[in-house]
Amino acid sequence: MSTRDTLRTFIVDTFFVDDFADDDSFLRKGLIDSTGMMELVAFIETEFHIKLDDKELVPENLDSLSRVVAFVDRKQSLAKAS
Amino acid sequence: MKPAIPSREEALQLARASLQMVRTEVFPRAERMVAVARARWMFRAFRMGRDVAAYGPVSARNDGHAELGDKLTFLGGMLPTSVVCYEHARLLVGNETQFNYGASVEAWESVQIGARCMFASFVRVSDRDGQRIAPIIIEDDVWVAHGAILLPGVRIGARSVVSAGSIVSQDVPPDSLAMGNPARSMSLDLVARDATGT
Repeated sequence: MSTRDTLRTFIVDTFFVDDFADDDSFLRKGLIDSTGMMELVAFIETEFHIKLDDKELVPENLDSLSRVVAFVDRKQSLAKAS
Repeated sequence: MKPAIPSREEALQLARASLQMVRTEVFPRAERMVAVARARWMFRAFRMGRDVAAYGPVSARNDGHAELGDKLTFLGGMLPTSVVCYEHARLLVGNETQFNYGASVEAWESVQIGARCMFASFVRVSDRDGQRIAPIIIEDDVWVAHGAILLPGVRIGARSVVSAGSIVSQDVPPDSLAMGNPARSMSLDLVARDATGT
């Protein structure tokens, strides 16, 4: 499964939201609350074996599915490079 | 001409209006006066600003240098709030900060709390945990929710929020939400609409 599908499945199963676009803001659409965001962060860390720094927990990285996918890809390629 | 005698309805209405006035205007003011008087007595060993109010029991002790700002509020409830400043320690609390019942602030070396902070019930702030002593700094406009524990040496940035039940062992940057044990911080912009006006 691609990163996008893995994340989408997790979000749909965990937060009981069925219909959302890749660019929908989690916050503004009310899809994920603060506790949910912590769950998402924990999921990303265990699923993709990357460690997120607290400074990276900002809307630019995590506030929509496409942003999360881009962020995870970037982190993974950084991890591979080092 | 004789003034008209008010009808039964009018009299009732007048009575109701004055009762309402007593309830909304007089009672809260009286309660506040009692709270301010109580705070003055309880914090008699503290350096204290104006209008500090204690609406419930507070166990306060100052053997060091403790300074409270103006307009602090200590709410009452199931358990007394406790504010303790030990010998040679420094405890500063900024203006308009509020404490709910059961909160506990303990200074062994230095605890600084900013202005307009909110401490929910059963929050524990202590700069000593049995192993080490390190100063705690809480900046302005911080909200610490129910049951959170701040460990020695942490600094909570301005306008940040500490979630209920969190155990904070690391510094929290400004405009963040700290959550979990040990607490992790995320930007408030990520989880709260218009949190920082951006």
